[in-house]
Amino acid sequence: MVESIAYLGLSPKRISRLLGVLMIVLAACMASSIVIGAIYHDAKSILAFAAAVTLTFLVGGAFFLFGRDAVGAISRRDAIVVVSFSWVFIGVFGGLPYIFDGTFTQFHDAFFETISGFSTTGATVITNIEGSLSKAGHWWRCLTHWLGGMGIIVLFVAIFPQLGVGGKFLFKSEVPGPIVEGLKPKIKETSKALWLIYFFLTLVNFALLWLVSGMNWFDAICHAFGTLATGGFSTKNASIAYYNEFVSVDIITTLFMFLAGANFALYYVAIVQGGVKRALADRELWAYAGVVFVATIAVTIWLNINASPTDEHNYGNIFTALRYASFQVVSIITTTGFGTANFDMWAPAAKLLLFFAMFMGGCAGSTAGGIKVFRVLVVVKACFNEIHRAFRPESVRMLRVGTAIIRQEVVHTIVVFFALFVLIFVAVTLFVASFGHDFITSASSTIACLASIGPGLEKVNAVSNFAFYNGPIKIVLSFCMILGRLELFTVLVLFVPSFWRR
Amino acid sequence: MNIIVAGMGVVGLHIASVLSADNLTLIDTSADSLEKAGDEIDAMTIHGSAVSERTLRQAGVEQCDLFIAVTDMDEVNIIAAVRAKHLGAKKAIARVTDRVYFEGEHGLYTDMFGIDLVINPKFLVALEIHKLIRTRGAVAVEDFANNQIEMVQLPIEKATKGTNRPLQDVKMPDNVRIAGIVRHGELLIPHGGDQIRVGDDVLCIGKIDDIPKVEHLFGRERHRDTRYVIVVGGGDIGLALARYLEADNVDVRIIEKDRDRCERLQEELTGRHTEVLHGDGTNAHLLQELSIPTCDVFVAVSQKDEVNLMASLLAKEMRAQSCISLVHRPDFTQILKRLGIDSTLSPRVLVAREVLKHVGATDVLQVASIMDGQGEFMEFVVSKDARIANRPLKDVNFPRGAMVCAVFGDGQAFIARGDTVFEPGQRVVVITKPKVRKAVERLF
Repeated sequence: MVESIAYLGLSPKRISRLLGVLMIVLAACMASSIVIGAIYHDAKSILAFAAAVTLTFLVGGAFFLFGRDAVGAISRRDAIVVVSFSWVFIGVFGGLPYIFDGTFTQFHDAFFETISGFSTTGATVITNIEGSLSKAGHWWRCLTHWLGGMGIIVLFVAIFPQLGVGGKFLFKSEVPGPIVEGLKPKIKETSKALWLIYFFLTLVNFALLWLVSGMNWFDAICHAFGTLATGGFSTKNASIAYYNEFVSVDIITTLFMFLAGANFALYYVAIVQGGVKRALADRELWAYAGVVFVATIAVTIWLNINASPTDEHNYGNIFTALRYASFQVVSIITTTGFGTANFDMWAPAAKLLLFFAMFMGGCAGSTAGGIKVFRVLVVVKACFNEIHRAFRPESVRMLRVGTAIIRQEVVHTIVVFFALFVLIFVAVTLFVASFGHDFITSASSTIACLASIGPGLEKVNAVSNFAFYNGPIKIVLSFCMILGRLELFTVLVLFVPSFWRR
Repeated sequence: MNIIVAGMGVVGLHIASVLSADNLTLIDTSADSLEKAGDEIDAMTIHGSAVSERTLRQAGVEQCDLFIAVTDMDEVNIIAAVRAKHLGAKKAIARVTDRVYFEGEHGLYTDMFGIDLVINPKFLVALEIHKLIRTRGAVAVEDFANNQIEMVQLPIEKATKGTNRPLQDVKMPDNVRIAGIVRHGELLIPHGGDQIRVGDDVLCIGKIDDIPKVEHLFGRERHRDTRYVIVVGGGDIGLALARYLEADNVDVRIIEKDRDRCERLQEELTGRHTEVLHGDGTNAHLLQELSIPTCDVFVAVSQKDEVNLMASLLAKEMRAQSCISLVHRPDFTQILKRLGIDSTLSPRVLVAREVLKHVGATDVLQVASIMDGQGEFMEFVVSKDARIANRPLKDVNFPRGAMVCAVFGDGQAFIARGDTVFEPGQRVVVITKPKVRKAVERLF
């Protein structure tokens, strides 16, 4: 007992050791690009990636050696530092290949692109994707999505033995959602189960794109990575719109984006535990499906009424409109950011609806970003409760989602999260606008990064990119992506001075 | 192994942390306690009542190997254990504290309710204190093989023939073995080359009659028979302890604050030399009246840790020969040792130890955990095709960090030596560090 109390603080050695191992894991993942380079006989990429892998490995090894004699279990504070720092390190070192192979000359561009990958944002600063990236580069760019989707830390918890409670702290710091319920008693097993489901779904998505839609295997894998991670990087300049004549690509991608935006724990319950009924009883899932459904119908209608023949968003018939509406709605709500149409050209109401949908994002425990359906649900219910209390202060109302009662403290945290999210959005929008960018561009860039969507409106719309921003804005937006991916608190505590004191 | 622990009080938390290598699911009605437990232990937590079928199913009771109910309510524990058994738990253990449930001679819980083990922490404490009094001077005592074999922990306070030389050169009495050395709070399983130093504690295992010889070797004399014991606190523990001591013909003075309780004690305790005193255990004047220096053991077992601590310190100040104090809260244990209280007992550790005995594999008969789980005494039955069977011990590649202590078969117990040959059906007591436990299990 006394021992465990003594170890509750921060330990540089423990943190260093974990960061070291994480970077070695990162280097190993990066090394897969060398294989792709070898398949396509691309000596330049092989060299660039080999250099990046070596450097990452060496630095990781140095961190590990520094912390090799660390003692004690990982504390909550250790875990927060490890998770936040590792995301910055991943951005720095994961961006090395882009610099070594000449894709970027600026550090902030490589950092932005890598963080955009790992945070599953999908915002890019590459103007000509098909032209400037090698196959190995494409592979790494999409792989960053996939690793970041379920979380590289969660992967680490799943494979690294004996983290104990520390593993739980690491897990909770990275997995999105206010309620992270263990699927299995051991956090290692839970992480393993989630990654297996994730892997399996990606495999199915890949097989369908490859075999049914006839996409080539490389593009099929890359798009499956981007879909399941709700990322949005494509190997094509035109994104999914490139496959415009293949309706099956739209349908498959829409379906899997929707699946990736739902809570992965439910798949475990439904498939492994055989509790399909129990999984379908989840309120958040229904709220999520409901929002997607209503938004799709609304956008379809707005695309059809008042559409003059000259409008770009006049798709002629309602089914074509439904096809583009559903894809864009799902892509935005799940914070993926793939595009089959430039919704910036759509009717104002449709545009606005999609803009607001950006804030919500997918379900807790999914790979999607944003505030999360669950939190929105709780905030809405809390509002109703407060309104009720305004005329009947005596009434005691518990907040329920489904049959579960949400405790007051949890409601409180969620409301604060909501407020913080909006505050950060306002602050960053002001920052971006202060460089002379217009209101809609600034606001949509900020939310596109904070909620890990990718494309926004106006200058950053679905057919544009973020390349024109200057260095400071790119760094701040990258930081926004990490903030959004790690759900604010994990990163923000690092800025509280007392966190670093005893 | 899938284990469910219901009730995250001090006892539940301790059990959970001891069992944290297994698949644990924790249940509690208080979300705060659960959150605290979840921060300390890698386990699934479920908020709800352990009696509720829904909660139990949520916790996966169908696949549960062991269900442990240790909430602070007896009735909840009993019903939860029964329910868990009905829903598919393989084994159920319930903590039941109230004495009324134990009155009468029938095995009510095992026969009628199907609960595998009912643990009464108060009886456990009373039994343990009685054992400590019986073998005074030792820090901890453990029995095996129907009390033929005993393990004692002896503090080494001065250099003797047994210290500062390799163990293989120390002439040990027959049928006694040094099973472990505790140095700076770490448990070592010794080898022939290791030495015992002043300041260590040694764990000796041997036949009960031979244990005093080894105590002599290390310069500790068995105290003269215990004749006079003072007990502070006349609760269930004090009462049970006084009963045991009465049976040993010991003079007992039992101090109780509550007048009505005193009268009740008077009715229950009929020994000629027992005296019930109404008063405060921390009242120096009262203690002086009882001539503390002449008492062999001073025991403080009231419900309040603070009272036990202060009473023990007062007794120590008045030169009591030996003090035993009950500590409920884990936070205090360390300090009490430093303050000179000879032995501290905590119900949570005793309950956890009792539970641990039921956790091992099926051919492990008994497990006793020592040094807060740093080491375990395990009793194995030698199976017919065991790797250890039918060959002398010295030819068995026994893992480092484990040691065979005692062997018994045909009603006879003896201490294993290099030339001991194990026969199937014999029972063997092994001391092992947790990390080699699996390797040891494979040998049998």
